[in-house]
Amino acid sequence: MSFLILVVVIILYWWLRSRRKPKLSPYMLEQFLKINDPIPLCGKPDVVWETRDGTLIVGDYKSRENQQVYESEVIQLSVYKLLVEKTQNRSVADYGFIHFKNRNMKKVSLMKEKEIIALYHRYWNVIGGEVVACAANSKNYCRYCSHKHECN
Amino acid sequence: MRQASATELAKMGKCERQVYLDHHHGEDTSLTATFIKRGNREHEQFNRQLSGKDKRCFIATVVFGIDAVETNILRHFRDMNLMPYRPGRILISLYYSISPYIVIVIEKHPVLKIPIRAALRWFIRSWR
Repeated sequence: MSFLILVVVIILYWWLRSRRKPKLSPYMLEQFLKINDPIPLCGKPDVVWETRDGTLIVGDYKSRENQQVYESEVIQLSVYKLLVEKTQNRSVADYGFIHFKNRNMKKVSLMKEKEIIALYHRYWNVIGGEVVACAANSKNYCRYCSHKHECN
Repeated sequence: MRQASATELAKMGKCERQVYLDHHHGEDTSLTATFIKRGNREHEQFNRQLSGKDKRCFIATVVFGIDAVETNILRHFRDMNLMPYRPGRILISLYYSISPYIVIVIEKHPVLKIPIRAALRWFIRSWR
């Protein structure tokens, strides 16, 4: 009899605990966002999380085995953060999550708005040939590049 | 000012020369096509896991499969007969809090799938 009561108490405890709002719940999934101010940007974050206190956190999923975080991913998440901030008019955390397989995730600090704006202008200057484009740091990256034969 | 996407700006962190050459000579993804296809498949799965609040049916998913006929029938039963009513929603909430642990036991002892499948199929036949 006391064992049964114990089982019921345990079940009730887990049930009450599961009713509590999770620390992170998905606020937005793969929604296309676009802004024109301060600069014209667009993007589709894989996930935007909402914490219990209502703060939003951007997240992106990477399917590769290697769980290192690269600069390109920090840039991508930072742009998503700016997009969410300007479109949702809510506070967005200055960090984001990179999600990997097996529910692993890494927290990354994001770039500031003025750094993204500077990068945007540099992007168009690179395309326009107005500045000298820097090459990849890693020769390994060049292996899968379709321009490896024409790139000096 | 012209629009740029998050993905395009992110490439600046990989290789600016590639950004320039992609823009002026076009991007050829044949070398990375396999990785892109696999990545898209895994993104879909990630998305399904996060948006699956109404797709959850843990025990049925383990014994029949995520998109099996029986799993969909049980989801339909949940949505039509339990969700509209408060006692039903309490039962669902209780089920979602306990069933992940039952799933762990089933995965450790796959032979349990046989009686559970039989019981769920009997339930489906009775309900229909």
